[in-house]
Amino acid sequence: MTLPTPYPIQRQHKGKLAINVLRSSEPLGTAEVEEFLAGRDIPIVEGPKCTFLYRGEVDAVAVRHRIVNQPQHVPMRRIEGTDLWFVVIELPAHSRVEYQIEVRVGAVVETFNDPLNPHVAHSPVGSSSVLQASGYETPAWVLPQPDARPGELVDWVLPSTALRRTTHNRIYLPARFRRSSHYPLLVVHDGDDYITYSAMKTVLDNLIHNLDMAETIVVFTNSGDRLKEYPNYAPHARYITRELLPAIEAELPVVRRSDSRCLMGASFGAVASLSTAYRSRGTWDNLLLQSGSFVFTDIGSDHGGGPAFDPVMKFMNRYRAKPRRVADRMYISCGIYEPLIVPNRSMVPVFESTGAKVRYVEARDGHSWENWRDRLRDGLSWIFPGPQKLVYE
Amino acid sequence: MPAEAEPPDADPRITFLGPQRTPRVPHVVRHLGLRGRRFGMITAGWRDRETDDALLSDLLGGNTVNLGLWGLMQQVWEADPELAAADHRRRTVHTEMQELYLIGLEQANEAARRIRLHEPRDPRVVKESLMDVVDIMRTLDQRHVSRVDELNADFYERYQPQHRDAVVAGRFRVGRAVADCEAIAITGGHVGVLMGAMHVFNLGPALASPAVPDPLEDAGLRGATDPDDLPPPRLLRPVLAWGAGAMALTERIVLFYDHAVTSPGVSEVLMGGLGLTRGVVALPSPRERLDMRDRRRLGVLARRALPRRGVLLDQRTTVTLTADGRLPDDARVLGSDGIVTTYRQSLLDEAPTEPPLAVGPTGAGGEEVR
Repeated sequence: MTLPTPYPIQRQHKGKLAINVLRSSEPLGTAEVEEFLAGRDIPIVEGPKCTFLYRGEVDAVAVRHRIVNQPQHVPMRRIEGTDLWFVVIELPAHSRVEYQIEVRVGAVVETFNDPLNPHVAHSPVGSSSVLQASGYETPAWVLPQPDARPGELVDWVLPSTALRRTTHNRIYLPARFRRSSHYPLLVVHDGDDYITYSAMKTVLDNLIHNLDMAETIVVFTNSGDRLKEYPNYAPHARYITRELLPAIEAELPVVRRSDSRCLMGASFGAVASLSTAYRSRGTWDNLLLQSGSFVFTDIGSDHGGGPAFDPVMKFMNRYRAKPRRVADRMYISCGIYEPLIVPNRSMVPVFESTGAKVRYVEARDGHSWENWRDRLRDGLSWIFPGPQKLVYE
Repeated sequence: MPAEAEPPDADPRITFLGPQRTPRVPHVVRHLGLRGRRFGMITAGWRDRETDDALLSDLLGGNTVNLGLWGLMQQVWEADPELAAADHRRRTVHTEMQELYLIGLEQANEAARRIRLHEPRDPRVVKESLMDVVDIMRTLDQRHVSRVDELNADFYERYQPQHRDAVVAGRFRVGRAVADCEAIAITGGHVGVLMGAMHVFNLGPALASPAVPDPLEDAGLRGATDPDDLPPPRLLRPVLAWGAGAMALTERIVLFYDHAVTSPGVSEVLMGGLGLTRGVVALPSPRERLDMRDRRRLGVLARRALPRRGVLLDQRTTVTLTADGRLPDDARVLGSDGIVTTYRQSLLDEAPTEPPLAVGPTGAGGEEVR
C-alpha cells in the first residue's frame, strides 16, 4: 500500500521578500546588512521561497545540495555595495534539505557548512547544513521526553565464524525489561549510526513509553566493511541468521517466531536486510527498509552507481526477474529528493506482487539520517505495533 | 459529578472513575463510606507489573488483598500446557477475527468518506446513504461480538477449563479471597489481558449473583428476552473501577484511539464484557484518546453503541451507577450528535433514525475517516 503523503497546501508569502526589501533600501552598506541579519534565521523561509545568504569578500558563492533532478550547484548573486550574497530557491512545504556553501576565491574552491545557519545534520561522512522549509517541524518524539522511562543499551561482542571477525553490537533492552516476558526482536544494520545520527535509542524509549510500539529487544549491529558485507553477501546473511539470532535467542527472552522478528536498515543496510531475509527464507517475516539502494537495470549492466553497486544490481536484477516472497510485512520509505526514489518506487509493486503486505511512505527529504529518523515512528509502530488500542489507564 | 453517598452494604453499586494519575481514590472511598473496608484489588491489566500495587493499596486504605489474577494465570499455563496451547490458539483466532472485522469497518468507513465527498443533488439521499453505512457498521459490530462469544464458548466447551485442576484451584483461591473482601477495586491496563484473567477465574459470578431467570421464559411460555433488557446480575459488594477495569464490567468493550500512528482510526468492538451494567459503554480518558472536536466522528461512535451510551471517564470523573447498573441522570455521555451531554438529556434527545451526519465535502475528513 502506497501512502499518499498528506502535505497541507503551502501558504504563499504576501508582500516583498525580505531580501528584496533590503535590496531596495538606501543607503545600503555594512551597517544595513548587519541590521538585516541580526536575529534572523538563515536561510530565510517565506512561504515556499527560501533565501540562502552568505557574507564575504569572495569571487563566487553557490549553494550545493543533492536534490535529484534539480541543478545541484546554485550560484548566489552579490548585492551591490555589500559583501552579502544571496539566492532564492523555491521548496515545497515540509521539505528538509541538506546543503553546503561553495565559495571560490581565485582558483581556490572550498565547500563548508553555512556559517549563518546553526542547524547541522551529522552522518558518518561528515555534517551538512539543514534547511527546514515551511511547515517542517522536528517531531517531538525524537527528543528526550522527561517522563519516558529509558531503556538500556548494552555492549555485546560476538565472534563470527562466517565473517571471520569479532562483531561489535549493542543490545537495547526496553525499560522495565523482565526475563519472564517475551519480546519481539529487531536487528538494525548500521546500528551505531542509527543511535548516533537518528537518535534511535531516544525514539525507542519514547515510542515504547507512549505505547505506540511494542516493547522490543533491539540489536544494533555494525559492519566491518559495509560496502563488502551489505550488498548481498552470503557470509553476512549466515552471520545474522545462523550466528547472531541463535545467540540472542540463547541469551535473551525473544519470541521465537518469524513474525516477531524484523530486519532493518537504510541505504546499503536495507539491501543487507532484504538479501539476508531472502537467503533465510521463513526466518524474518518483517523488514523495515529505508532509502534502499535497490539499484537495478532493465537493459545491460550500466547502473551508474559505481563498482560498489555491482553486487546490488546483480541481486536486484535477479530478484526482479523472479520475485518471491521475502517477508510478510515490509515497511519501505524513501526521500523524494534522493536519486534512489525511482528504484524504491519501482520495487513496491514487485514486492506487493509476492503477496507481501507493503507500507510505502515517501518524504520531502533526502538520503539522510534525519529523514530516516523522522520515519521511525511510522515504521516501527507499523511493524511492531504497541498496545495503545488495548491499554486504558 | 458527586458520587452518591449511601450505605455501601445495603445496596452495592459500581463506581466508575477517570484515570488515577492524580489519585481521587481516597476521596471516593471516603465519600462512598468504604474507608477502612477490606478491598480486593484486581490489577491483572498491569500484566507482569501486577504486584506493583503498594501505592494503590495505600490509596485504598491499606486493608487490601491483591487477587493476583495475572500471576495465577501464568501458573495455570505452566501447570496445564494443553490448556495454555488451546488458549493461545483461541487468542490467535480472535486476533485474526479482529483483523478481518476491522477490514470490513475500514471499507464502511471509506464508503462514508466517499459518500460525504459526493456533491449532493438531494441532501436527503446522501443522508440516508450515510445512515446505511452506520447500520452496516452496527451489524459488523454485532456479528463480531457474536462470533467472539461463539469462539469463547467453543473453547470452554471443548477444553472445560472450569474442570481442570489448575483452574479449579485458582478459582477456589480467588473465590475465597473475594469472599473475604468488602469491596473490589479494578484498575486499568490491558483490557484483553484483564478480561482473559477475569473469565478464567470466573470473576463475573464472584462479583455479582446471576440475574433472576424469567420463569415464563424458562417454561417456554415466552420467547427469549434480549439480554440487554434483562436486569443485570445483582452486585454482591461495591466495585470501584477505572480504565480497562471499567470497560470490563460493561456489556460491550469498545476499543478507541483516534491518535494512533498507523492504525486506521476506526473504533472497534473487542468482545462482550462481564455485563454487570445495563446500557453502558465505558470510554476512559476520552480527551486523550478521542478527537473531541470532531463531532461527526464522535456521533458515529455514539450511534454505533446505541442503545448503550458512551460514558466519558475523564480525569476527575466519578460516576456511581444505579442499583440496576444503569447510568445516573447526570452522567456525562456522548450524544448521538457527537456533543457531550448528560445521560438524561441523551435519552430525551434520542432520535434513532436521524444520523448526526452533515453532508457535502468538508475539510474535516469525516467521523471515522482520518
